Amino acid sequence: MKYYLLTISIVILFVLSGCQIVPTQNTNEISIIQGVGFDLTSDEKLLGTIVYPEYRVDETSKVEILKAEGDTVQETIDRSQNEVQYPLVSGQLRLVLFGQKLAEKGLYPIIDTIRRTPEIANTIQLAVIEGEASELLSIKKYGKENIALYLSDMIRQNARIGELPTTDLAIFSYNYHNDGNDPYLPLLKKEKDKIKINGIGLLKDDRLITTLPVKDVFTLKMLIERFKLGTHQYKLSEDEFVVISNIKSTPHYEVKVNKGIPEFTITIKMDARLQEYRSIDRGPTDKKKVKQLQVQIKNKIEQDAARIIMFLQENGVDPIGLGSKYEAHYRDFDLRKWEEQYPNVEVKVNADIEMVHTGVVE
Amino acid sequence: MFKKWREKKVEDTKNIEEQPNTSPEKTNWVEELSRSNDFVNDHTSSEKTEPFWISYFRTLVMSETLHRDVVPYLSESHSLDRVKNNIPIQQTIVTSDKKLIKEKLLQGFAAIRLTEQDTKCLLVNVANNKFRDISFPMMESTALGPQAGYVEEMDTNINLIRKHLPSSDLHVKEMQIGKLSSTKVAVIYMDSIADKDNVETVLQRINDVQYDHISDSSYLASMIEDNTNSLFPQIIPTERTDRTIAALTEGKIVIVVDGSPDVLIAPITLAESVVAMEDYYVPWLIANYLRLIRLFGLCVSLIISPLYIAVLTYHYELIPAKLLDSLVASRAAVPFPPIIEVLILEISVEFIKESSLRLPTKIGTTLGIVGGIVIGQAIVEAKLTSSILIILVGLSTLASYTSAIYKFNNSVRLVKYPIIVMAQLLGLIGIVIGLNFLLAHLLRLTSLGRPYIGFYPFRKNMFKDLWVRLPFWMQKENPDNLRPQVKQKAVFDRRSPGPPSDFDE
Repeated sequence: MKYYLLTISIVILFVLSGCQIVPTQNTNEISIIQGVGFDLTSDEKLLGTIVYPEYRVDETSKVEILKAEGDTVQETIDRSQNEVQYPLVSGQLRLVLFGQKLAEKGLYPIIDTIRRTPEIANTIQLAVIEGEASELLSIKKYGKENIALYLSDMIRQNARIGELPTTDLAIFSYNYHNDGNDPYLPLLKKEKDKIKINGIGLLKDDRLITTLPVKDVFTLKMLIERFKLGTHQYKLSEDEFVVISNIKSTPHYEVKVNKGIPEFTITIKMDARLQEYRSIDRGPTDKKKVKQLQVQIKNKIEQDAARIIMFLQENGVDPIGLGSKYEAHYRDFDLRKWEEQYPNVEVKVNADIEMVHTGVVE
Repeated sequence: MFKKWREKKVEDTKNIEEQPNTSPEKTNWVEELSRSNDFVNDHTSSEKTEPFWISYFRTLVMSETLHRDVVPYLSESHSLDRVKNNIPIQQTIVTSDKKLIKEKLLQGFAAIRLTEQDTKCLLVNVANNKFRDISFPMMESTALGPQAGYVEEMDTNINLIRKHLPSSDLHVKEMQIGKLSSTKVAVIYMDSIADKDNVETVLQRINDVQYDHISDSSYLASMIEDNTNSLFPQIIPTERTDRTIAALTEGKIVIVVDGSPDVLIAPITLAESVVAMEDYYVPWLIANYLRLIRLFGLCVSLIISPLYIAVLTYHYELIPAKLLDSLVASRAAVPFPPIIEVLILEISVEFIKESSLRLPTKIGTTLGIVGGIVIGQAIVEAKLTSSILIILVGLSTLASYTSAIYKFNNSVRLVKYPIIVMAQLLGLIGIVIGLNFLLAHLLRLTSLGRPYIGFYPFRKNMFKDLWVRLPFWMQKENPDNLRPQVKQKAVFDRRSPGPPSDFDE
């Protein structure tokens, strides 16, 4: 008898609560935010741009763009909330863009808000925009396409098989919080009505310091991470070009501490494939020539890397994370002292290139 | 009031019990049985004083046998013993026990007496044993393997088993249950392999059955099951001979019920639901693939609708970005929440299943078309459900029939609904809670007191032929969960059969 009462009361509890104990989020009655952009207005306010798809019967979905100003991230969303049919939710967020002005002032408050929202994934893409994020998101040409998914896929595919180092919220957070590491983000640019990747934005803490152009990004990627795939062209002389395709590239770091001053040796070990060779009157690419090319490319990479590291040191940013390698190696690591040392630290780069596949040579 | 009603009930049962006890002593059995019109009580001679009197149930005997093998021999002699010796029928009894006479007459014997008042009579077996012939197993047909299915007659079924296991080790224990139906039941097992406890349990449980009639083996199965309230069958019926033979040699117990083409196997495990006999007629790798498909099918049919509800009601975050478009857009016009949508479709599929099950094939085709159009097309165009859900429910319906045992299919059909409700209440966590309850229930279930779930407690050699099927050379042991008396299978060379020697010198 007791059990009957218990069962009946549980059933009544469920029925009276409308068959739901926790509030539901029926997918058809929410506006699913897929991308946001933040800019700094002239009066130091945040300008939020929200991208969400609207699904209609018998029609392809349409992407809606909302813009609202506010002092906090939440205020921009609350303002936008006033304009939509269904409540805005952020669980499907895939892309967050930052205007250049905002990035120069500091991103952390926004990233912190995103990271503290539990339904937002750790693998979303972040990017800095040369110009205004709101302007970029509302390009007409991408109106039918879902621009948020388009851009996040674009960044992802370029990191996977292209020249861009892998970036997402998790990697950014790691680099931001780790001592002796500085974060970096892909840099997007609107050119006429196209969007393209225009290099890498280098940050110190959460502020954009400088940018690295596309042609140097590949070398930076080789210095930062272990990766497969990706091609790069080297100009050996005025009319001689060689393109190598990366099979596997791994950086090795060696730290030597000499009287409290660290010295770094970075060895890039790379298995490459000769993809393309173009020259006028340079003879056939036989075995000897390949050997020769190998040496030339090795020198080129070493030169490029040295130049980039110099550039990084001049700007005081450390995306390679030399500081953290030093910290891992040296017990008496002092972050403040390291930051003073960093611009003058000696960094050697060795490239160990092996042409594994050359195709048919003869 | 309740007490009164109960007392009355007790009196009623007393009356029923007393009736058959008192009547045979007062009246002659001939008079008693003559109340039925199909009872024949004939005199074979024209002279009233001369023998014989012959009585039988017209509907129970084979008149051909009676006239060929019994009647001609009656005129030759004037004593029952002579007749007994002359008649070319082996099953004859001379008795004057009224109870026995009545019982045998009801089984299709003919009673022969010298005079009408004689109590002593000769009982001759002329029963009509004609049933349908052995035919294909309808519910468990396979492309390969033996095509003999059991029939309604017990002796034929036992014959099928004995033919495949010509061993004195095969014991058959017969008994009768059912106060009115007196159904014959045979418990069959390999005496040196089957666990004694299991045999005892089965015999005792069958002896304890108290019911008026046993129409089918399923009656008996549900009466002697460990947990009658469970959705999962703890004793499985089969119509395939090869399945029973395999079960017997492993140490399982087989119960044959007269009048039922389904033979019972016990004890079993949950894993049996994915074991089809065809697995043993194809290469072992293919067999494993098929088993995985079946197992996956059971999981899919259990999970897929609840998952749809949970994800669309609570967890929009989990939908891949590319899928979001088609999933949400297909639901854009549906006015119901996912739970109602799923229930509409699930129930309409159940309607089709249920209504077409008992219809003759000719009408069934019409029904299939109507159901297909209504469910396939119109329901989407009417915006009652999304087209994606139709695919999912269709899949789960298909998948629910992947199990090799029909009884499991029905279990899966019903188990799904509590999980659907849990998915609506709490989302994914509700599904997990629901599945945990299911798991707890399965862990508690026993079959003849042996664990039911099939992977806990862990028995290594059980896995060689239950969830997966390893090649025959690796199956040298009987599964431990049945506690067989003999650990090794009866093979000639246990250590190493060696490579097949094709070239003998």
